[in-house]
Amino acid sequence: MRLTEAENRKHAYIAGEYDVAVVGAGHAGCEAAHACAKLGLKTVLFTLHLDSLANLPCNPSIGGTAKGQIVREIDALGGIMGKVADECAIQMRMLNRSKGPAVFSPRAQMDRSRYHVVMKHVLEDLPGLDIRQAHITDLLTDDSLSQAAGVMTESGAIYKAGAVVICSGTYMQSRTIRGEVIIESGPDGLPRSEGLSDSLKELGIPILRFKTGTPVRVNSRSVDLSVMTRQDGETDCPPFSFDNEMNGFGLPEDQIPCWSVWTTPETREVIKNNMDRSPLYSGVIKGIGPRYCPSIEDKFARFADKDRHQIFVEPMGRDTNEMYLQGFSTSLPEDVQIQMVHSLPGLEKAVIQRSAYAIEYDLIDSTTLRPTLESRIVSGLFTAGQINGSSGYEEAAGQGIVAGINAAMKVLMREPVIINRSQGYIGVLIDDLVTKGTNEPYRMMTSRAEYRLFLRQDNADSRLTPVGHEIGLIDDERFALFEKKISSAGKEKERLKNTHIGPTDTLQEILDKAGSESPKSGVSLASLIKRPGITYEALAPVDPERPALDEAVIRLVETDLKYEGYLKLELEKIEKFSKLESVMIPADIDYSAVRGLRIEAMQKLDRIRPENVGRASRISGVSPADCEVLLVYIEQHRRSGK
Amino acid sequence: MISQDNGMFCAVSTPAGTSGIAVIRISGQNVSAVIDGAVRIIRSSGDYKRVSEMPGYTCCFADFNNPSDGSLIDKVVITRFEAPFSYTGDEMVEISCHGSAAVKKKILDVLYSLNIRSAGPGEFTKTAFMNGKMSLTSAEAVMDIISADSSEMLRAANVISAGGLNEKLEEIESSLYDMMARIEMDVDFDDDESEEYGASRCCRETLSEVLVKIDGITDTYRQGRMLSEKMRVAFTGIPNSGKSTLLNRIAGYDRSIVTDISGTTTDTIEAVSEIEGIPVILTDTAGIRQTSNIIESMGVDRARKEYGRSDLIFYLVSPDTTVEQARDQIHDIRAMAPSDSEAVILFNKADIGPNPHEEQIRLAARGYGVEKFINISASTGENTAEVRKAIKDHYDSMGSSGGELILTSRRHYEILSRASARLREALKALEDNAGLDVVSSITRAALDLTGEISGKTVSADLARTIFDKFCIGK
Repeated sequence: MRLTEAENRKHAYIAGEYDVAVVGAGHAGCEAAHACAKLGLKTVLFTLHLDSLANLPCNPSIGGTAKGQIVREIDALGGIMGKVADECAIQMRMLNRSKGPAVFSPRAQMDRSRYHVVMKHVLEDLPGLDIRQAHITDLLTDDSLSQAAGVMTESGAIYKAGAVVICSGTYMQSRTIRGEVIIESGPDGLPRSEGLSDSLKELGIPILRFKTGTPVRVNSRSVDLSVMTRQDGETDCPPFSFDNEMNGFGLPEDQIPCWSVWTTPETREVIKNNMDRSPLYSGVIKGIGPRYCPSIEDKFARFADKDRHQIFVEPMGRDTNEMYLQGFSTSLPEDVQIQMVHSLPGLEKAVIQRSAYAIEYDLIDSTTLRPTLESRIVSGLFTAGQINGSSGYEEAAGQGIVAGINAAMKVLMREPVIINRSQGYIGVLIDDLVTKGTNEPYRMMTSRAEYRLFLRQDNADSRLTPVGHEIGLIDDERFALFEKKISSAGKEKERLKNTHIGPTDTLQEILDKAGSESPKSGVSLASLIKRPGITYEALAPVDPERPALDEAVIRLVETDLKYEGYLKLELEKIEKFSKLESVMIPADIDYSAVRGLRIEAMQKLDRIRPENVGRASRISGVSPADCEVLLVYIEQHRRSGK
Repeated sequence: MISQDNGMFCAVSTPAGTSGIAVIRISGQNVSAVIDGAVRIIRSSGDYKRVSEMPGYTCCFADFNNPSDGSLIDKVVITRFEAPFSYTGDEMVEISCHGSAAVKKKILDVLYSLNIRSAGPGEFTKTAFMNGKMSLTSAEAVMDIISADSSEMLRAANVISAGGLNEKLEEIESSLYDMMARIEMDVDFDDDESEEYGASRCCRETLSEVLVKIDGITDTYRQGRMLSEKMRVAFTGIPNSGKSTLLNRIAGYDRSIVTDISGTTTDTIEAVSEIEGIPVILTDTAGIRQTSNIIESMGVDRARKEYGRSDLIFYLVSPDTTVEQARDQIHDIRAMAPSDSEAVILFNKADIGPNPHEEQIRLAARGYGVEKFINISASTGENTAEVRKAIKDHYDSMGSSGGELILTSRRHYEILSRASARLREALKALEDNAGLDVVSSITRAALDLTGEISGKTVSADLARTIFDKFCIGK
């Protein structure tokens, strides 16, 4: 709606004027608002319900494979998620320890209600940020309908803004489904968002519909944990926040364990007998669900050869008995859910506190966005999180910080900030969404990153903290700390390369333990660390001169040395990638004039209008042969221009 | 004055020289209208009067006239192809005329006068590529077919053009993709399901199998290189041992001056020929001997350099060759020549009588691992067929069990060699327990390489390559 029209509405009044208005206070919205306020902009953050700000409506954990890397990246850029998660962690583990450092992924169980409390308090304390409980029903624009100008609440309050960031999560026109029972509601029984998706549709933004789901919660008092497999946290796991890591932050001593069980033949039987009541299979659910986080009935249907699946029983906090059944999400009716839970070992008498449900919601077509997450249809409008088709708290937050930064850059008339695929998982995530789009809730996986040996959780700061500092989200003090870490790692690497030791009994003992051959002559410490099975720590007895270093520095040095050769290869790949990314496509290109492009490619390119050939090459429907044609066209264009 | 290029070009598409019929091809937007004035249609299946009115894919019988004075040049058959369904993707006309040089020249002159310029090398194919009619790989193969100057090369180029290489690459790529999928499953999902997907074992098996396949392809380049860059065959020996005479006999025409004065061939002389279907560059090197003559000694240096790039070296022994000379020179050859090259000793002038040192020289040669000896007479031609056969034998000995496919492109060979080196690194990383993430990263790098041939990888350098290859624009 035009701002001028809104002002003439009955009961309408101007409630405020802001640089940036952020709609939705989930993980994307909180990061976006935090970034804007930190950059000195007058910011307002709207939420449907203040008590659900930064809610964890699904799993009570943050991080995990690929997601943990994103949390580290957000922190490296100067975001907030990592710090709050560190403070609310009740258990922490590093996943994939046996599979190589590129895929090491930190994951922490959260105290769910505390996460909300801490995040809310941090944002309340933030100067320049106002938080408002309100139901936003309209996006307001200028008279041309192509420039965002603010938002309006259902009660007619108008908030003018230079830029608007919408992070509506799963709330737009949502409905929850349990078997035959369908309720117009947001997640966790919260109110849904009405009208906003229509308001976007009227402006020409394509609206899609997805589905996701969540499992039941049970009371631990009714559960027999003694028959389950216990899974404890780790004390030697670094925190998410680099700040905390450098300042010697310690994880809580009293970490709370998780538990795991396997489904039984009875579980399978219950599901099989009730499949006709599944809304997914009866056609009630039309939204498309996530392939990588399927409901349990989906798992049985799709992996017919597997007769059992693992279920994790996770605590939801220190002050509650509520436990979350990870891997047991379902949209089957409540009465079937009870039978299903009772078929699990140790859960025969479990009392369910919240039912599982599937939820359908409106979202936008993410290929209408620029890599800054600004809409190409309405300028000054940014979107982040599930509204863009992603799934997961971390994916949402990663987009949130980028949308927030770019909304701020827009208002400040500064250069936009684009994180590319070789800089971070956040870059991979956003590029995938805006270039390829997604036809199911998009979950980040390490396999989506081409350069994951380089995109590690331990070096997220060296990749992104300089970017955060440049933007202004990382203050000088923290940047100095970062530079000190990098320089001491550099010095230590040099020292290890230049320190040669001769064969001694002590060295032989270390080598024997690792099953490594004895060197023929003197060797550098660095070359020993490169050998399989030999760690920096293990060499302590033959390296008396070593300086006292932080754990983080040691880890960086060790990984850099061990993987030096492989990293070099990765950097070569990145260089090749950058070449293609730097072949810019003229902004005014007329694709119909590029002879030799296939019609499908021509249409896709014209719709997505990529900035460079690298992005063009990743559009589905644009073949390498089309890119060849495009490259030749651009080259000819360039040559004839000179 | 630089005129704007109108994109119209023509060329005689049949071989040079006189033939019964020749075909002249013209490509460019609206070319038919441009030649209307030169053509008078005599007979056709339709009632049209002009080439530009001809329906596509029909032909007509016509007079081809000189439009300036209306004089008849030739009676021709004209075929018209409509854009974009032509070879180049632009409108095309083909003129079948009589194959005399004079007719072809006169028709071309008319076309030039109509501002249809002469086609550059490979321009029809280049235009087809630019118009999206074919991928770079196909265009490359077509260029190879066009430039194939031996029957074996043509056969190899046809196999590649028909997708022989892509088929093998696809097989390789698909096993590597499957392997990566196993790794990803293990890395991204195993933590939740904590089940062993056996990714490491799967990787080891796949990598080993794929390496055998890639090496099988790159091995064929030993022959392929001899086809695309031609097999280098050197004739050497003391001055006046009959090298030039033999070369001329093998090559079939007088390429170098043959005299009786010792040391006539002071430079490396080359002759290009096709022997038993194999393209060869025959070189007649300066006779090796210690010399004070500066020009001659430069020739000797060139001869040594020639050994270094020869595939096959014939060392000619004449009755005048001493055992010491033979021993020194065979030593020289073995020291300079590449390890997979072959040396053959030819006892020349067999017509004069048996060589007095034959047994001793054979013994000395065996000491250097040279096992092949032929008694010939270059002047009478006795046994020179055996020399031709030795050339073919050497080519055959470089063959592998790769089947029909022979890799002929240096670019393909280099890319596949690099991919193979990468996969070896991946295997090593697996053995070193470096982590599946590393294995997958290296494998991806290898796939990026094979994709440069199969057309799955887009490279920014590509435009430059194409511009270099087809000399497009300025």
